[in-house]
Amino acid sequence: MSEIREKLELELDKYEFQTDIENLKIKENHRMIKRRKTAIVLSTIAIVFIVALSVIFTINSTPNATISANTMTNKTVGNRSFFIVASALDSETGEPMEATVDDALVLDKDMIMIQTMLSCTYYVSGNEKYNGVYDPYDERLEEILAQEGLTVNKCFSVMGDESMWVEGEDITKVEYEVKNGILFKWTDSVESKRIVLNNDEVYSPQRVVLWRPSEELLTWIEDQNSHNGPVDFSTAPKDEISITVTFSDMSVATRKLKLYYNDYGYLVVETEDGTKYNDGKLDDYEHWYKKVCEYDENGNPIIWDYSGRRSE
Amino acid sequence: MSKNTSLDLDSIYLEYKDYIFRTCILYLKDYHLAEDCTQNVFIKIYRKIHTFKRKSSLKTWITGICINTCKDMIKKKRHIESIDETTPDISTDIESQISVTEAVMSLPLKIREVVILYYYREFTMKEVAEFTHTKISNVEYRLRRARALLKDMLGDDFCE
Repeated sequence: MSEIREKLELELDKYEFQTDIENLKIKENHRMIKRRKTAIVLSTIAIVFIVALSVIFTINSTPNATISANTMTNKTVGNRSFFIVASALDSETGEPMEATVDDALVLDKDMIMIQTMLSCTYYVSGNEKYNGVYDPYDERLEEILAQEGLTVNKCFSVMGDESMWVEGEDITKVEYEVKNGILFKWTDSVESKRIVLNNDEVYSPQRVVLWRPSEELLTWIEDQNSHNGPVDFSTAPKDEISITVTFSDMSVATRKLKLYYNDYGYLVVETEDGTKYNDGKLDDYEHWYKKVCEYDENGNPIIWDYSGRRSE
Repeated sequence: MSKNTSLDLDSIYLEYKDYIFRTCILYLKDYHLAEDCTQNVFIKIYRKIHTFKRKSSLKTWITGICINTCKDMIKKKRHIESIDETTPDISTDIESQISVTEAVMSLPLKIREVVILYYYREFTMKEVAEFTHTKISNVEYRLRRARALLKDMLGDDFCE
């Protein structure tokens, strides 16, 4: 045992944790029961909706319509559809973030949300009056960034959960095609489906892959740090993503999305009909975030792994 | 806890409560925050225990949850004060010189983190690299820095 460990053990030995574990379990049980009930209600309504939609399509479709077998074409074949639900859980409650889960959206259309915001924290130094750390919604920023002689370093952090998974019956495979890969840190909580990214299988049961940010996004981040002005998200890279889902009966359905940052750093998801998701205002979400990259207060990059994908 | 032991929260609580609490104290440098954090860790363990697939040891799994919860708490507190710059709110019995606990707590977070995981919790370099999402070489660098800083603070008699 090392000396450090020995001494820490000795010094911290007096600290013991006490809590009412039974009370904690009771509270959590109540919370889980409530969630299950909500999930059952939503699932029932969703199933009824899908069945009704299928009936309508059947009535309107031509008599000889057939479902083609496993194709890679970008069109919906057959009468299947799918929900895509982006994980955006409040780290304190574990519940979906309030402003982002709208029951009406779930019922009326496929809900596609990727709850990601690229937030920038400004580290200012060079003048005692202005030295400090500023959040992007700090009212003093405009005055500060206009000053000369200051050193301004911008640290970008990711807020929200970058995960995306697919909810739907009988889905056996999900294929994503992206152009710029600006969606970073791809994980997937789906354990029974194959996930393919740009023709490369990135996920299957027992294998989890973390995707690193694209070079374009990192280059843009570095460029934003090359000047003292405010971050300009309009120049951030954009992306298009095509999601094709294969069902167990070999039918497929495809959705195409545009991805780009709004003025506040929210990664807007725009669907085919122009509907925008995650088009948030600056301080809508104040919950946890993860770092995309890290710069210390002198503007030097800290540890950042550019190695790309890793798999377990 | 043996592999064949059922994963019930009571057993996990008894075995790991102080382990988690003391880890949180070192991360957060604050007794009360560590209490809140430990509570949150157990809530997460309770919610996620059914997802534990024994790909790693229970200790590794729990440590991962603990670290992430500590980091969430640190980031949450950033708006109010720089938690990394606060004086540790922990008293020690040693009055004449800085204690090892105080010395570790005064380290920058990234360096403190590897000390906690490598020396205190005795994970391997590879495991520490995985916990901290970085390369082994970076972990080595941070440990070298840690040893140098601790030696400065604790004196020449200090050895790892």
